[in-house]
Amino acid sequence: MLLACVEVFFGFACERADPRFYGTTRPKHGADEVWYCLVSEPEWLDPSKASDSASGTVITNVFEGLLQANPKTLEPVPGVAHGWEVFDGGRRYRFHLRDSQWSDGVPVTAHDFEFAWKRLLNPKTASRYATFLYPVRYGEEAHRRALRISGLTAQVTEAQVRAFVGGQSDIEKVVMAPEQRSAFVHLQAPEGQTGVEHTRGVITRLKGRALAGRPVRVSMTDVSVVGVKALSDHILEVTLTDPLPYFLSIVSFYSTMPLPRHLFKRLEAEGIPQPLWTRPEHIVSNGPYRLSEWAFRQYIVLEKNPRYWDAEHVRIRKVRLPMVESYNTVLNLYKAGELDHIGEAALPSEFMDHLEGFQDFRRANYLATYFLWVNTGAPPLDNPLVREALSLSIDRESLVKYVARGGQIPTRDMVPGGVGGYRSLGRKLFDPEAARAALTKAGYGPGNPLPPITYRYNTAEAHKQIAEAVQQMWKEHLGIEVGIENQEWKVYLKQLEAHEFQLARLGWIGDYADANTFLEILRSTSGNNHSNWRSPTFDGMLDRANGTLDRAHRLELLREAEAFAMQHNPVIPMYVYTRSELIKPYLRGAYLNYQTRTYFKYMWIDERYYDGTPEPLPDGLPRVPKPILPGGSGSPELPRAPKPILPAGSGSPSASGPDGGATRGPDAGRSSLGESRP
Amino acid sequence: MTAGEQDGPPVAGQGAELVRGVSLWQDAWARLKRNRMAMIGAANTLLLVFLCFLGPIAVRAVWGYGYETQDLAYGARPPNAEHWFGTDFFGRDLLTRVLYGGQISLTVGLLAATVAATVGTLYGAVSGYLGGRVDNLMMRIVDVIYALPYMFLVIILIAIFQATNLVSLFVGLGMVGWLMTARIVRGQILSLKEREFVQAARSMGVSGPTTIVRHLIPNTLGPIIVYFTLTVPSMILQEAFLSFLGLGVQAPRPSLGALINDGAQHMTVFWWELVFPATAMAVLLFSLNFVGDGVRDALDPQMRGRG
Repeated sequence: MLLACVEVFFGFACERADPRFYGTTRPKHGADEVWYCLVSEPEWLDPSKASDSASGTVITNVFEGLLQANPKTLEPVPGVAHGWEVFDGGRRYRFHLRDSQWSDGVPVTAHDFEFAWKRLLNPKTASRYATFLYPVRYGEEAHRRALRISGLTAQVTEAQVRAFVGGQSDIEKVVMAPEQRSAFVHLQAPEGQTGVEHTRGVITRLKGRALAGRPVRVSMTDVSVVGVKALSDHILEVTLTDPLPYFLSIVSFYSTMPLPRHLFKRLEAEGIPQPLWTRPEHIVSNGPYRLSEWAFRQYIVLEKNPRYWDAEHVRIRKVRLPMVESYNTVLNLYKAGELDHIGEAALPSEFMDHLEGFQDFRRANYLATYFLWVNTGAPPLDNPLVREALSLSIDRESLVKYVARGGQIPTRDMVPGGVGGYRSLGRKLFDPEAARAALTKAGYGPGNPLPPITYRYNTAEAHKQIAEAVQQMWKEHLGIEVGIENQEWKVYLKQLEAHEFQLARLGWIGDYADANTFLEILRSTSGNNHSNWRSPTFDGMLDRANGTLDRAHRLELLREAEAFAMQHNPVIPMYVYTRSELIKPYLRGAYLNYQTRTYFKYMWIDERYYDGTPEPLPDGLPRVPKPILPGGSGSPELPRAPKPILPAGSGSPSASGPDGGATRGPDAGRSSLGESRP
Repeated sequence: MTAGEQDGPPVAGQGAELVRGVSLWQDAWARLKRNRMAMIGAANTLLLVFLCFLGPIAVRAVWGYGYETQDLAYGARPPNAEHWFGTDFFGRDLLTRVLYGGQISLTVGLLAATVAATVGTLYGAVSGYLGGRVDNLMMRIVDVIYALPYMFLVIILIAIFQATNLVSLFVGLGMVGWLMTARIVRGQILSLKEREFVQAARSMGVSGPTTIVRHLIPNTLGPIIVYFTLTVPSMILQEAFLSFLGLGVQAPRPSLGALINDGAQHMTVFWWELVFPATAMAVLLFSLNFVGDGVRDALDPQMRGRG
């Protein structure tokens, strides 16, 4: 053991190192490989089910959606769809698919997308991202299995539908669908009954009754009604309930990537359980890479997919993704050249001052919030005053300055300021007086101490440091004892989902540059809402905001919704992330964007770097495909891609390094809707 | 106490020298005193115990801070006049943390070793005394547990307790660490129970449990104590290992193992966070081991006359 250490240090000392860079500057592998740290084991490689950043990175490179994102600016650019048309003022999109193939040679068709989107919305899939497609017409109805009344005439009014169902159940809302000759009714299930059970009961009772003098059919809504349809193998049509400013960003996100229908059918025929489809021996994908090896909790290897439509431009043939959870190990691996890019890993904060001086160190803004989920389901945290006290007694300025040390922006709001023009709530960061007052008002004090609570984090030094600092702040300012506890990432996510925690950290990476991505996870129906805080009022406010066309007014409504939610403190935000990265100087084409979104296909190893004549840096923007309009001549309304806006404080999108770098990861939580960064 | 008579009657006349019998314990003590390393170890251990248990209290009384008091703005300073061991990342005084960590480590070591010795002694004594089939069965159980990986069992036990606190820690360690003691005690009892004083006790109608507790166990105390003193340092090491895995004492409480684990993470930038706890741990373990070795030598009849 000791000997090994001595050798390692000796080895470092002997290397002819370039002092401008941290560690060795020669790759330990061929010029067509990249070694990128994935940090933790991906939870799912199934696009419909994944929600963490490690899974997101693999899926983004192994699959390709209708659109992909510019790796630097994250603007949507053509992927499988080479162009798109917009109709009805942004309510209907028609995507034109190019000729492309799955990695087994079967063509990728619009039907694969229709299948994938409907699978995402199918409640049986139990996707955490199903709410992502709620803007698609009847997406919400299908996912929540609303009551469907069909066979209506055009004259039937909403009031008649309400009267028809009203005697049997409380109604949350009614959606009229004249073109389907249907109405969808969201029922409110009484306490102690699941929504599906309740709806079934109502259906049996309504069977055979007439509405407005005519017989109607009553059933439970399924995904067949959803507004996504393959018009042909090459055309996919999507209908939205309301125009959505960030819809194209959704389409470039991994949850909406196509699925190999033919593989699912084959596995079913062979009697192989469907969840195994993502194993390397089965998986079929359509992205620039394919999964070639997956060693549990050790590494994943991706290999170039020769059937990818743009394969000629993919320079890296092999991507090795080791999973290393210890930041210090990551740093040492990087130093020794065993990693080219620390990837999703965060840098240990105690090394930050030291590392900032090296040229391969880069820092960029990051659209991600570090916060605590509060399980509002059980005492004492079901008391909003206690949550308020906990939230107000964290000295976030010190936390960021002395503990996190990465230039993060302290915040007590969920949505980072500046996202898509959003003005942050700017709630007061720290007020120990008010915190103590709230705790006293809640009835706790020296005579009646708060019952023990536990703060949980996923195993990682950085989270441990935050937890220890916060634990002490609570002790100092509120006089309460809080235990801290750590868990491995996958177990951690399972327990979050099962609501088996009291306080648990998470990082939420915005999936698109709009405040909604941060508020959506507080929606009562969101699979990413772990707090137990469910508010129909809040859901309604979000719906109203997103149905508003005027941009300024919409943002104002979203702001009101956030203010309403944060009053109840279902989350305790701490700061807006920054990304501090180490990327070897010979690795080029690695961009830093405001998400954890990494595209290996843009990267290459600069061999001329060694001769002292490095290739000139790209002028900032990567070479991305341009949309081709169908038919060539006509100019359908081309939606303007939403401009990505960076998290608060600073600057323009160009704030990232000279040639960008990719994401980092694991100190966080879920991305995409946040992948949680582990 | 069966060995050696107490003070014999003074021999009358001639003003002759007083001849005193020497008990096993007196003999052992005399030999222990002659073992210089053991005495240094014992003195050192006492000093460390004293420092670890009183130090943190004194610091809190005099300077008003404890092992958990943070001063974020004063984080990670090297040793200086105010903080002799420097401060850690959160600005906590490292000296206080090392002392408190030593206290936790010692407590865990002593209590876990006590649990192990108690369980092992009772189990071994019952098994040896009853003999026959019961003995066979009980010893096979020991063999089976012995064949399982030690740490694995401890981790399972701690997981079953569903809590990572001090109690679950030493109970967990102790519950798995008794096997060797049980074997040693059983061996001793097997031979002791054939001796005349046991037969005498039986013939007077003393019950089984009383025979074990009053007559057999006291006669095996020697080996038990030896094994106990050697178990304490090994328990401290096990605790350090568990802390490494995150199953030991929970933050903000330090133990020496946890401090070393933290220190090892940043040893290239904050060397003092590793050096001081590691040194403290080494000194403590050396001292305890010297004491243990000394006691073993002193109580070993084979060593008699060679000390």
